[in-house]
Amino acid sequence: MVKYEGNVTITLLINSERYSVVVRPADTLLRVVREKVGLRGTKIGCENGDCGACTLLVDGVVTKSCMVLAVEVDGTEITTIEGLKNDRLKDAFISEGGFQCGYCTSGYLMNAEALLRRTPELSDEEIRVWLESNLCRCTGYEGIERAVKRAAGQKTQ
Amino acid sequence: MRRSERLSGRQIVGTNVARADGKDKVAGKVRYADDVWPPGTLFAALVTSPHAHARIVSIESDGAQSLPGVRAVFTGADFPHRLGIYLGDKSPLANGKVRYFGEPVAAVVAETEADAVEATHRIRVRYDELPTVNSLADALAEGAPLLHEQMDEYTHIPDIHPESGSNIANRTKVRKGNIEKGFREAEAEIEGEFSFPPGDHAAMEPRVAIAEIGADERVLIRTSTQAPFVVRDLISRAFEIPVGKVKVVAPRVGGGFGGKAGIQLEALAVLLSRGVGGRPVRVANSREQDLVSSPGRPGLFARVRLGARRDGKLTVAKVLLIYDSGAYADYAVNVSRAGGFSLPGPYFIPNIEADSLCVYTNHTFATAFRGFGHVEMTYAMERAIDHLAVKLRMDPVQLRIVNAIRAGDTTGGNAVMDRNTGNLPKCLETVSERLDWNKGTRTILENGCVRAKGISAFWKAPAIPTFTDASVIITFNEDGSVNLSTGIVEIGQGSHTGLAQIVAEKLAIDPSAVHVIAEIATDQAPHDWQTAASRSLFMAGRAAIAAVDDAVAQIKQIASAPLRCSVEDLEVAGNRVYQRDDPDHGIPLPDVVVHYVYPNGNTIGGPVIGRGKYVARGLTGIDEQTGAGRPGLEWTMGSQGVEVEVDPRDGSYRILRAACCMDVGRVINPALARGQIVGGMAMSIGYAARESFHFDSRGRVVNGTLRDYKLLRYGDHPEYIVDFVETPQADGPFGLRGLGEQGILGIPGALSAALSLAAGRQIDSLPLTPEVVWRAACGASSGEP
Amino acid sequence: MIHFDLVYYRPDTIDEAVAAFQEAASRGLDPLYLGGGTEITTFGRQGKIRPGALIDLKRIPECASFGIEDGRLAIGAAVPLNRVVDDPVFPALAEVCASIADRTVRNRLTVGGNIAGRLSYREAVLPFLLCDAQFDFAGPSGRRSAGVHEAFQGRLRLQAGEFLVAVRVPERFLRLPCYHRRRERSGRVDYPLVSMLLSKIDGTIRCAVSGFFATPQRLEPGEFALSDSSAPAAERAVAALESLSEKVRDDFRASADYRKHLFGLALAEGLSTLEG
Repeated sequence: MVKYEGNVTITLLINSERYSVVVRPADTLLRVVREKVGLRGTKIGCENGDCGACTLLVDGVVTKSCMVLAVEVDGTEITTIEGLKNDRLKDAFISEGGFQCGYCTSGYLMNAEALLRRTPELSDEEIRVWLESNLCRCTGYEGIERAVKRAAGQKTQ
Repeated sequence: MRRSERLSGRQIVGTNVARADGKDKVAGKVRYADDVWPPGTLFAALVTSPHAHARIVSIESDGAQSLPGVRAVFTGADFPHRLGIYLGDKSPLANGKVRYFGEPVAAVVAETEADAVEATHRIRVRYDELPTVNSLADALAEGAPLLHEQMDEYTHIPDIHPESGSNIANRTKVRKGNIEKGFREAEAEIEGEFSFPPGDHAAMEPRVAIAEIGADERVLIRTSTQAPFVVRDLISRAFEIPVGKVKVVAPRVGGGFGGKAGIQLEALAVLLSRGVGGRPVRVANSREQDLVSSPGRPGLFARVRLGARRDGKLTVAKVLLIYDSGAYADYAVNVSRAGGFSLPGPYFIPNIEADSLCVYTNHTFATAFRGFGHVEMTYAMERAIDHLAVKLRMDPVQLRIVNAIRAGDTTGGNAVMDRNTGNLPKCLETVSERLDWNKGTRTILENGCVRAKGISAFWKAPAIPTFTDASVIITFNEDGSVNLSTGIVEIGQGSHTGLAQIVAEKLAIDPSAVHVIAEIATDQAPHDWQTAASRSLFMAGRAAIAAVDDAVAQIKQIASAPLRCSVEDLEVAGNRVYQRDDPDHGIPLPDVVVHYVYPNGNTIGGPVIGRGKYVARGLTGIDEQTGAGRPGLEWTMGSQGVEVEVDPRDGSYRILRAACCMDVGRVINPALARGQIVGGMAMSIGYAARESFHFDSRGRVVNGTLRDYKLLRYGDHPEYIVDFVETPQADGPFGLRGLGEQGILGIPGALSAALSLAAGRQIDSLPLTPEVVWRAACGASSGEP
Repeated sequence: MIHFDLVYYRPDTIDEAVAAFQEAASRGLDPLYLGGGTEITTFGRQGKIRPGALIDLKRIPECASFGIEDGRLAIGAAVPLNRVVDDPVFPALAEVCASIADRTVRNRLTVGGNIAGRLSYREAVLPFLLCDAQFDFAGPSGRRSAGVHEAFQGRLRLQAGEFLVAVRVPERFLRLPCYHRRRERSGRVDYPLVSMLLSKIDGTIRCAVSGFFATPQRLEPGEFALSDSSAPAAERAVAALESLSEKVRDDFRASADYRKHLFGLALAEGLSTLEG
């Protein structure tokens, strides 16, 4: 049994790099990634699981990092926006207007990455089920829809 | 092809140039305000009021002060001054009483955020509750409790007229023609009342400000703001520091929508930093604070009476707009003013009597919000026009076309519309065609669902001070590429890209060779009013053109010597300066823009610095009694329409299509322009269909999280159809008009019209939830009036 | 962020979990069992709860299992909702779970956490209410099992220091025809105004609903009326509604009247669907 009390040192494997960080057990993964590891691409939007700006991957599973304690995931493989290697997806977001202010974009890209890894053959319904997890206040979702479908190799108008 | 011709034929304005910050945004590399903390940053946390209206009896903070890690605790007593951009009515921390649920009452500064938040839980505030002014009716009732007993002492700009002894923070009047005459001439009349509750911007990036103060009293603020120069000015005045010693840095902003205009958390951050010896202090809103403690947008009550002839021509409008601006009116006094002076919308009506009021209530207070009072005005007028269309048995599109304002007509303020007037009839026709209006606006499907369509028209000019300014500085690098310094903040609207395109077009170079400085620092960027009001590209664009002209004049002046010709014979394009009638006779710009060196070493010229500026031309205030004046720089108008499919059994509906046609003068970047319109429409759908604050019987917000304050989600969005008309704006850069806000204006009216048609009964309030539609349909079928 | 300190335990067995709880309790730490953590992180941040210790159940095999054992589907309390959704061996549970929150959050929401949590919707319990499920608990007093109607009455009835280990549903219920209808105020990602699950079991209609009353309920008194197949579905729905004495939710999401209307519509449609 693992027990963490007070400030503890845990090992996080993030974007294939090993980080040894001192955390409080109460620290969320979001705060640790941003403030202890210094990867600020993952964003704080609500810390309530509603907006998705904090989305990253934990062992490949798309996760809202504001709702996870860092100590829960020590030893797992975490992928943040800084470790996203999918140029096709990123280029699609650029070419199809998938962002404006860019604040929700890291979260959307991580969610889309997980979705595309599952299967590139995507129905509208499946895309909706996944992407409705993230809020965007700028684009009206049209550009995001085009970008994800383009990255999935579907014809876009 | 000759080098000089390589780029001259290529169009840059009007094409889809990619955003310069695009690659950084998809890589998570953009540094927003909260992504950079100076060493030694301390963290603030707030205690906020659990009451909507109460006297503060006592604040005990000993339990907080004694926690290790806590550096200081502040209350309103530490800064009893009131601030405000138009009306100084609010202190950063409440003084004496709280006027809205969530109002900040105390602040803790500590070594870590956890320490600060923990400390706030140890602060005991005792309140004596006061009667709640929980509605506009409450606020305006005889003997209503006064939210601001000391309103007479507040400083305000001359254009604002608070009414002593009341909760009215401002009244704007429009008196045009003679309404008695107008009603006599009318052959049909309607009157209606229209309303909706307050709401919020809900930008994805919550507000944050980090302030520090140097040993020489220099203030440095890094903040998520649309208004770095306004912040600088207000901080300077509030803290009595020379303005040149206040530096505000605006990085890339994660959405503003007006909520980061004016002054937001910055004064509090400076106050806290001052209290801890100038160490950097970060004040960052939680999402709940961003929704409820920081301001949102006003609510509305409106009463509109219209008269028209049988042919549809409007003869008269009598309008009352009352803006629920909540506990503080700071910015909202101008919002209600702008809504007032933009009446009656993009229509010509010869006789108008209107009052637009900004009223205090104990609700979440309002600041600038996309549309700046025009969503409210447009909703009221468009509903009224739809009521009139029914009364006249006239097609709603035709009724609007008949009354569309044209060049030569007068506005509500008796200003004459000039030849830059947009083509509203064309916009209306386009939207109606796109939605197959002629094929019918109400159809019952086999499964019992009802498809219905609604349309609206709108307009807005920037609501700006008459002295609004913009300036741009251009410098050159050794390779001839350009650096552009502007005071416009990139908040997602794409203005930086638009500016790069304008400069690139003028210099006939690739836009990627124009580097727009991303972060705006007030001690480096040239002055700019603020990034709001849909005037950024218009005004900074004019300034950029002027800066290019200035730089080109200098380049020609320098080059004329080695080229041994007169300045008039020279052209600058494609990174060269050359003789127009002999293009091969020229010099590469890299050889000129820093200095020109003759073969023997003699040097002339020096770094070329292009300076450009623009001030709003010909604007006036508005007359206090009649509203007459010319406050609008340029009016961007258009039409929006929706098609919905409603299930009458339970009122649930989908918006199938949302169309917009807007006359923008000139489209600089079609993809970015479309993005602004579509984004505005999405926000407009949220505004109309589902977003509103709910207050309990004691004025407390009950839905102050994103779980309960519902924004449009992916999958709820319709098919968007966007068209542009380009009736040039002669004084706009390349003929453009502003368009950042206008996308939000038309859906409340259009959606209300469509759902009213589907339900068989007029629905005159927002939000348009399925329950509301269901009730209307029930009322219709039971024959209620 | 959570501003108070806590002690985090990650046991590998049920006994370790109970021992950890007892240790934390004896230190006065007010321990909570941790499933997906969605409620603990958010309510903790908002200052609504303040546990001094968390005992993470996710590594415990019985809590993480999902499969048929001894003629029953055993669903570990720490099984994430998406696991249930993506492996629909129990379609009624999969459909209900697929409607809760959003896809990403469902990777963390657990069946047990949803049922045992503070939020009063607890929709994952709806299929169990219809299927006479068995609830397995572990705590300082040892292990125990209880039928759903004893274990859950609007909320999970836990003894001090107990946690839900797993829920077991007999195989015969897994493939039952079910009708699920969930309605929200404006968009899918929201708490329900009404989330109704109907099934026909042993010739009678069973109905469970969340979002309609203060807590999720079986519609016991009303079910009698529902099963009278001689009456038209709409009439039976009205009769069932009239037989309810419990107060219907009335809040900013929807009025009681509208909820009743939606309830009636869903009942009528569900009855028609189940009876062909």
